[in-house]
Amino acid sequence: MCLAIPARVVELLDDDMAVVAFDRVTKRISLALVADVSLGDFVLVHVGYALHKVSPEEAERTLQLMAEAGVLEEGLEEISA
Amino acid sequence: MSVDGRVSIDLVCDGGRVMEAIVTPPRPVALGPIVRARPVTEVISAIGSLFSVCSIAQSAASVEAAEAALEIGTDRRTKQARRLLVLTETLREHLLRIGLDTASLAGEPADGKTLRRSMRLPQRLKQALFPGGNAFVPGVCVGIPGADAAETAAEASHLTQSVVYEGEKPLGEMDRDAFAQWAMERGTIAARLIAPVLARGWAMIGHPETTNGGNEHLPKETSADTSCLARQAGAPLVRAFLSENGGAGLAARLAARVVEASTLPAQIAGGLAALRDVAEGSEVPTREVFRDENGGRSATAFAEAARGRLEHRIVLNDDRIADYAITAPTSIHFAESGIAASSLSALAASRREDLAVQADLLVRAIDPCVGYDIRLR
Repeated sequence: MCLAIPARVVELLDDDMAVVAFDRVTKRISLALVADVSLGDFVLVHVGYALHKVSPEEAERTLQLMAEAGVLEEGLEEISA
Repeated sequence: MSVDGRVSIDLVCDGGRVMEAIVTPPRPVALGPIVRARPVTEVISAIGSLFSVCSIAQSAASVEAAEAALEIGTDRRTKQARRLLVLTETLREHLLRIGLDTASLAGEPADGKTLRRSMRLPQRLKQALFPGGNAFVPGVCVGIPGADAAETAAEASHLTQSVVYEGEKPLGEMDRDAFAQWAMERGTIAARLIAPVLARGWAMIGHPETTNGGNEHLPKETSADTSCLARQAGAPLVRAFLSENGGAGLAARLAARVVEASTLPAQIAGGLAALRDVAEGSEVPTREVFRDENGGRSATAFAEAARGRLEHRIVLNDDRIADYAITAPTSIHFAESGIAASSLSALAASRREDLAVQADLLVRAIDPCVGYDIRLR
């Protein structure tokens, strides 16, 4: 899938893992592909991995685009899968 | 316009043999409401944000279609620079896929440090070629590449040697025995992925002609494959794993990936050097533009992403978007009767646990960045 959904890091775990949240959905993901992630950062999540950090503004803009396009549900599947 | 969502796969099994692979393709989603009547530059930017996994390939196809429809000549050097960015993104996807699959098969953590360095390659090159600017604005021109670009190309080469292959003889020119020998030496991450596949006798799994799986009825014409297998099918090593009619199993797909990855750093470095020789201001002919009776202009452009060919078709009316369509390879490869369905239906293993591992490897070998769920029934 070529959609990645922005989500906020709400907990940093051991072994390059973290818990991210979008709305009321949380997911345990890997931070293996991204350096220097801090609590509260927004990351793009794809198949269980954070791909990039994004600014809160970019995250909001992308979420708005996904909502307008009707693909936010796809993104939520990505988070909850 | 459609996007690639999550693919759902049901494997109907009899013991360890797949009798039928039921692939539910990505759900098409209309994006018309967000692009219609918007300015072209805004839509290109939105596409890059939405399709962030392969945003460079998506943006490159988008801007090239837009420049054609706007009848803006594309600067020759800029077109070449964008192509190099797409190649770098493709290399990144291959390195990630190889790194993650090797770790998954071995049941060990991935080499995070190497993967993180791989992740940065496309953005580093983009910054080096278009400092402070956007590579995907219609009419933009790239400058002469400096030291930053050369350093990124060197980093790409170093990472590829570490992850994929380092040797005098090109990987693509090896025969099967030499390839197996190279894999068994386990000198790179890719070799440690290939070695267990060959050792377990899994080279031909997923080859549609090796079993009498239940999907024999699938029409061949729907099996269009634009993945790296299609791009690298001429390499002797890849050809050695193909059947006479071009049928491919797991080893052919993995070989195509490592062969392509091993050649990309030289293409990137050579392309950067060639940029210096391109005359400033020279333009490549734009793609063909079609006009309708209402003054609308449409054009189509392509980009070869890691997973296959992306096609963007743009329709403009008064320089604003009237319609936009993307044809993505995932939708084709994972169509109900596409190559994934025919390959998965050919799986057979002595143990059901192996079947699940084989299916995972095969899906990711067909498409390095698809999100999917597999159920064994």
